[in-house]
Amino acid sequence: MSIVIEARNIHKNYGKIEALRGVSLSIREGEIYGIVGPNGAGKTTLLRIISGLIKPTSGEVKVLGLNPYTDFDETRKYIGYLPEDADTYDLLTGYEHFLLYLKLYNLTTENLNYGLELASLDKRVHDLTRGYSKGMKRRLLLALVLMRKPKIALLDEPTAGLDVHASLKIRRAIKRYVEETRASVIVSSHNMLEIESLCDRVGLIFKGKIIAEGQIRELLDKFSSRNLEEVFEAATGELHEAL
Amino acid sequence: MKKYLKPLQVNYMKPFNALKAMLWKEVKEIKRDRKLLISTILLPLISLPAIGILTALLLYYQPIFIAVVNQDVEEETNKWFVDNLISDLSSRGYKVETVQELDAALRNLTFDLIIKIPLGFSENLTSLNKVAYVEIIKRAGVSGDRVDRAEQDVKNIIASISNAVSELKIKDLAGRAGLIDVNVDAIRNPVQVKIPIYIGPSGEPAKIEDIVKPFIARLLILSFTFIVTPASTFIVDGIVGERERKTIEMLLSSPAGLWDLLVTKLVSSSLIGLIASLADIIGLLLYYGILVTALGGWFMAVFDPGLIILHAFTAFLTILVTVSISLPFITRTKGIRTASNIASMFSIIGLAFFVAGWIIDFYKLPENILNPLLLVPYTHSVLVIQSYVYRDYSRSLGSISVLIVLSLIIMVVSLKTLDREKVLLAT
Repeated sequence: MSIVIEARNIHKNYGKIEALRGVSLSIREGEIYGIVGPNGAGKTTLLRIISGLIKPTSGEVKVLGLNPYTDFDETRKYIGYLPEDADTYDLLTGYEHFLLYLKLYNLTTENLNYGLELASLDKRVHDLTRGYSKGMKRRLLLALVLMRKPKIALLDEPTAGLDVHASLKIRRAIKRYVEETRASVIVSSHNMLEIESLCDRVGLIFKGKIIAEGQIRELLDKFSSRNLEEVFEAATGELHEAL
Repeated sequence: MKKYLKPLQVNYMKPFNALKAMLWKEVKEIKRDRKLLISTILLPLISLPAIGILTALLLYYQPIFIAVVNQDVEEETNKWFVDNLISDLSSRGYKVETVQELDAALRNLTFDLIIKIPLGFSENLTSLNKVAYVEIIKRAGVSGDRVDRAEQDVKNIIASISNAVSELKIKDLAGRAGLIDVNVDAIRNPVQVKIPIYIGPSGEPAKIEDIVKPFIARLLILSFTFIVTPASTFIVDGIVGERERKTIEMLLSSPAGLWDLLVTKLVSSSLIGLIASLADIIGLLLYYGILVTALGGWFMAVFDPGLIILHAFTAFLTILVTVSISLPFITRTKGIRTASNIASMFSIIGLAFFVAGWIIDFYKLPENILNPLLLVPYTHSVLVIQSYVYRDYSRSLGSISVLIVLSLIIMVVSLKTLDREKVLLAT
C-alpha cells in the first residue's frame, strides 16, 4: 500500500513551549491510524500541521506528495478534517449545515444523501442545531467532513465527551466509511479502548514525541501488555527512565 | 486510480463560490437572530423620540425657579413693573415667586435666579436723568444653560418694558416741545438690524427644509457613532466568538479559506451597520418631518433620497474601514472581552471625528488644517455628508470615492497581515 502522509522530524513551538519534539510517522492508503496520548501530548497540533492549518517550526510533512501548508489549496481537496470540540452553528438547521458545505465544496445531491445517511439525524435534521445533543452534533460534523469522501480524514477526538452509545455510532460510521471508500483515516484519542477497536496501527504520543508505534498486536507483544493502557504505561515508564 | 480515490470534481476556483456560500450562512444567521435585528433596528427608531420625550418631561417637571425681591415696595409704578415682569416670566413657563428679603432668597436653594429691584427703582424709572437698574443674581448649578436662557428671557422682558417706558417719556417730551410728527423708534433706536434672511447654498431664499436639512446632516454624521459600535461588536463575535465556539477551524480547512472567511465577516458586520444606519435615518427623518410639518413646511421635503442613499453607503464604508483597521488586532486576541475593548478603542477614534463633524463645518476648514485630516478616512465620511448639504455634489462624490479606495486598501492590508495560524491560535 502506498504512503499518503509522511511526516519527518516535526517540531512545533508555541513561544517557549515545545508542543512537538521531532515527530515522524507514515500513514498508508486505506488504513486507520490511531494517535493516542494524554491531554496536551501534541495530538491536535500534529493533526493541525498535517491538515495544513498551522506551520511546523521545523521538519517536513508531505500529504500525497504535497506540502499541506504551502500547497493548502491543493491538499484541502483531499483532506477532511474534524477538529476537536468543533461545534455547529446554533442558528442553522442540520440540513442547512449540509447545504453550506455542499455550496462550499460544490458537491452533488449524491454527496448530500451520503452525508444525511452518515449523520442519521432523521427528521431532526431540519431542526436548529441548538437543540441537538452532543452526540447528534458530532455525527453531523463527522458527516459534513466525510460526505465528500475525502481520501484522507483527520478526526481529532471524534468521540470526546460522548456516551457509550453515541461513541459506538461514531465508530461504526468511521469504519463504514473506510470500508466503502478505502480512504486513510487518522483518529486521535485519549481513549485507548476506542483506538483498539477502531485502528489498524497506533502511535503513542507523549510530551510531543511518538514513543511507540505499530500494529496493536505488535505493541501488546512488545510491551508484554494486555491492552493499550498497559502499553502506554510501560512505554511512558521507559521514556521516564531514558530521560 | 481507483474510483474512490478519484479526486472530487470540486469547482474550488469558481469565483466567489465560497464567499457566496459564507455570506448565505451569515445572512441566514442574522435573519434568525431576532434579538440582534430588533435591537439594531428599534434602538435608533425608539431612542431619538424617547430622548426628546424624556427631556421634555424632565424640563416640565423641573422648571427654573425665579425669585423677585422687591425692595421698592411703596411705589405704584414699581407694582406695575413687577406685575408685568412676573406675568411675562410665568407665561414662559418659569416658576416665579416674590420674596420680601434678599437673604431669604439667597439661602433658598430652590431659586436658580434672583431678580432684585432696589430701593429708588421707581423714582429712577420715571425720571429723565437717571437710569433704573435691576440686579440679576444667578446660582451656579447643573442647570447652567437653562439659567442662562432664563437670564436672557428676563433681559428681553425688561427691555420690552423699558421700551414701553421710554416711549411714554419720548411722547411726553415731544408734547412738551410741541413736536407732532415724532417716531419714537427713530429717537430711541435710530440704527437697527432687520430680521435676518436665511438663504440656501446658491443664495436663494431658504425654505424651512433648507434650514432643517443641515441640522439633519449634522445628526447623521453624529449617528455614525451609533452605527460603528454594533458593527464592531458583531465582528468581534464573528471572529473571536466563532473561535471560542469552535466553529472556525472546520471553515478554515474548507475551500472557504481565510480570505473568504474574513471578507464575509467584514461584509456581514458592515451589513449590520447598514441596517442600523437605515433605521437611524428613518427615525431622524420621521422626527424632523413631523417637526417641519409643525413649522409649516412640507413633511416630504426633508425626505431627500440622495441623502438617504449617500448616508447608507457612507455608513457601510465607514464601518468597513473601522472593522478592517481593528481586524488584525481582534484576530490576535484570545478573549471576547479584550477583543471588544480593542474594537471600542478604534471606534472611539471614529467617534472623535463624528462628534467634531457635529460641531465643526469640515467643509469650510482652512486647507492647511483640512489637508492633513484628509489622510484619515473618517474625515471623508464627514465630508461626504457636509458637501452634499452644500450641494457640492462633485466634492461629495470625490470624498466617497476616496472612502471606497481607502476602505479597500485598509481591508487588503489588514487581511495581508493575517494567516490561518494567527486566526486559529490568536498569535
